[in-house]
Amino acid sequence: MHNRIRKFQVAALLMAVVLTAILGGCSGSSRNGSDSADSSKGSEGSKPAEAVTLQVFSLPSNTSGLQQGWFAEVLRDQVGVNLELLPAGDQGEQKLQALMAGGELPDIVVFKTKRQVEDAVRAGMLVNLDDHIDKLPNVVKNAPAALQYYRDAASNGSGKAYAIPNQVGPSEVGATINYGPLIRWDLYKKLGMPQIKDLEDYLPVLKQMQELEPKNKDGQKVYAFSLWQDWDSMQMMLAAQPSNFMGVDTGDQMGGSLPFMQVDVASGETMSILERDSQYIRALRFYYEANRMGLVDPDSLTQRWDTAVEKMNQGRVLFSIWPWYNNNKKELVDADPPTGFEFVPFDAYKGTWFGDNPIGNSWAFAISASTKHLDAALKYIDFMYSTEGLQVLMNGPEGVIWEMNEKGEPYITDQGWDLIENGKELPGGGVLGSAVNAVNAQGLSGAVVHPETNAPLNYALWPTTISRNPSKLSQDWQSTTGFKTQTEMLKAKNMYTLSTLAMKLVPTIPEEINAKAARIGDVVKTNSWLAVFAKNDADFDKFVDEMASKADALGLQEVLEWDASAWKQAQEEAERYK
Amino acid sequence: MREGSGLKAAGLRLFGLSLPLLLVVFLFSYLPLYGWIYAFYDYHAGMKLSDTEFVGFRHFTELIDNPVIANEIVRVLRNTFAMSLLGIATSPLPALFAIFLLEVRSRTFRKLVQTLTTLPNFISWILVYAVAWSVFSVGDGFLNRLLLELGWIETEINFLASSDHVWLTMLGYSLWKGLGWGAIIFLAAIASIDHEQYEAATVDGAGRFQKMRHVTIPGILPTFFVLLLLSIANFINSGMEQYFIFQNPLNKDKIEVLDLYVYNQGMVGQSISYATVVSMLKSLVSVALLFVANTLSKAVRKESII
Repeated sequence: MHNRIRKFQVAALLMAVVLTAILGGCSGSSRNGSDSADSSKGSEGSKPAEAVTLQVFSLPSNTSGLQQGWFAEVLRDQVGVNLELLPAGDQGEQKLQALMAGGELPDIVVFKTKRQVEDAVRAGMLVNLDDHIDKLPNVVKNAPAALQYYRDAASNGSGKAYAIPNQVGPSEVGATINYGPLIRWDLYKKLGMPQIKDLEDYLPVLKQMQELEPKNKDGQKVYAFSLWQDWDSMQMMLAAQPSNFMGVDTGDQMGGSLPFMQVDVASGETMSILERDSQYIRALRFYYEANRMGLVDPDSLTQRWDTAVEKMNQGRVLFSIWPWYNNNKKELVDADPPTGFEFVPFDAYKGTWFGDNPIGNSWAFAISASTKHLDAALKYIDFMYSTEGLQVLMNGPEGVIWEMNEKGEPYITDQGWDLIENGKELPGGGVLGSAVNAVNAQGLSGAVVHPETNAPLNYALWPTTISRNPSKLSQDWQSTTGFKTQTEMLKAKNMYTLSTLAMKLVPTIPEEINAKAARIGDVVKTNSWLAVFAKNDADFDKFVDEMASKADALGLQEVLEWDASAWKQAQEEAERYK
Repeated sequence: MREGSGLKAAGLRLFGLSLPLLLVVFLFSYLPLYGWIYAFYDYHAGMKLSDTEFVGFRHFTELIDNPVIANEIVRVLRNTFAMSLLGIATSPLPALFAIFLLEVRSRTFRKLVQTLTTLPNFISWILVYAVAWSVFSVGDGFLNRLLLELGWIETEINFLASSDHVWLTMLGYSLWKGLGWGAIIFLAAIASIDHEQYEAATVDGAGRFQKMRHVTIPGILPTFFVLLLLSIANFINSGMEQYFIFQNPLNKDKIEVLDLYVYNQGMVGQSISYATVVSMLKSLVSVALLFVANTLSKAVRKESII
């Protein structure tokens, strides 16, 4: 009897160990873990309506597995496809390398840079879209300039279109530009809204805010910054962000097309990001000082984007770089008193404002030459460039989220707002944003006007949305600042820098330079993080100096020379397009 | 049938029998050497080799000419050697573990320990990291929470992002994962020791530790040496999965072993040709190690391996 009980205890203990292991695994990758791909090309027949399963490799995507939820149903019904997303995430570039070396790409590929497109074109791995242009009527209609630009600039000299850039159309700037900084408004007000003259002045304020709220309601420590490194490619991505507040690109806005070069957007002036007075080094110092003050989450070095977002959602972060990074939960921004993030610029703020985008962004849709479902792939791509398709993608089905009012304007219904703001699942499964997030790239800009509704595609830009009653938190921000939106404030105070066309026209980096840049990038990435987490000023200086000297030895000058000539070429080309 | 042809036939049959194995050796050990050709081109993934530029020894001279790169190679080799040496230095641990495990009187407890120590071997490194994260991370780590709660530490310790004792911590993880599994073969070896030896030892009045020293250890020593030789042969293959998963900017200096460096340069840095050169270096080091071992063997055992 005793023996049996003991055996049972042992078994229970073992189960507990196994469970801990499994659960540990899940919490480490909560997003990717749950939706493992259970279907490949083989299971097509079993799907209703004989939908074709397309394998999609989207470099910007953070999800993987067979796409599920309400938008998967839309795609199945209207396009006849299921999407099976291959995991890209933080290892996207490496996986692309492996796939390319293997000689075959999945059916649909969403590239991140023109360089990648050209590589694939040269290897003959993409379908010539011009051969099937009659099957892409919406692309031809809605993205003609973008199509032509990639014929000219990313076809390996053949003059044919092999890929189509994303987000084509008018400027998407509505209530907000893409950049913050946003900080915890409630805490900032409690401190009496101290003046913030320049970037560095956030730190003492954030410190005081942290002292006001050292722990969240679950007793977890609150930091100003909780960083992650899985977005780094040739530099510390998060250190390339603060320069956006000054209208300077240090590798973010141009998608890293000019490695290690800092470009002042307004003046067009350039310098190396590794020079001591560059905005990049300034950002490193900013994070370094923050870390010395105890404002940086020590887990920053070891966590991924998923975990960082989770921490943001748990209220463990005080500073947000982008408006889409912080999560102003409905129950918090309408609570009494409301808590949440609002835009608090410094006096010298000159945030980058993205203008119209007729030739699209640097991400691009393409079809693999080895696809067995060419027609379905073409249909899917055309859908992603159609106003009908994107209308559904961004706003959900009509009648569920939105309707037309008597004036013929689209508006989000009360039920719709409930679904959006409380993150509830739509009929069919998944929240509204899950549709956009799956592939994480869309053909047209959300500001393209739909011919039937006469309103922009994205509900965030609808007049009915903008005039809607704001949350208590936003009301407070509005009454305090005297402006209705971030963009209104920036316009009135002239605190923005308009992006220029030249930024889009940078030629593709040659292979040899790219290889050099990648090797330098390995050093820059590592030393940037080392500098941020340096123990003292001397160490910080040591890591920054070492970064510069190693980069020099690895051929930084050659890369910068190419950067300079490429930037000049882009500027000249922009003159011609004017 | 004449004798000569009989011999011939037997030889042919033996050759036929060994042919599949020879083929496997050729396929997996010699054919991949063809890939070395990539070192002489400026290869880019996706292109045909014939379409890429032949650059001769450029990637090789780069390795020597550029002091920064040369330093990197030295650093990476140092890490590889250090971690392999630590691995070899701790190779008696599974044997000792097996010996002491069998001394445990309670059968249930013994089985429990054995199961618990064997289990980690079946967990992939990525899950090991997840477990390590949930135990050691600063914000949510169970250990930091516990120590804080007990008041033993004032501020959390960042176990995962630390540049101190990287080799030792990595050794710790791999021991945790492999100790129980490595002990299995020794448990089998101990089981095969003749029981009469123990009985004789008991009659001679040997205690527990004396039995261990004079019966068990000599009994498993041959097994231990075979495994040791195998691990020396695998010296340069320090693996990469573990280091790949645990690497971060703070510990990269110490954790980047040769295989990981090849991956970081070839796949992440997109310099496949250069990475090929570095991986050729690995073969070179292996051959050098082999000759060292051979000379040692000649000196000590008066017989050579090759």
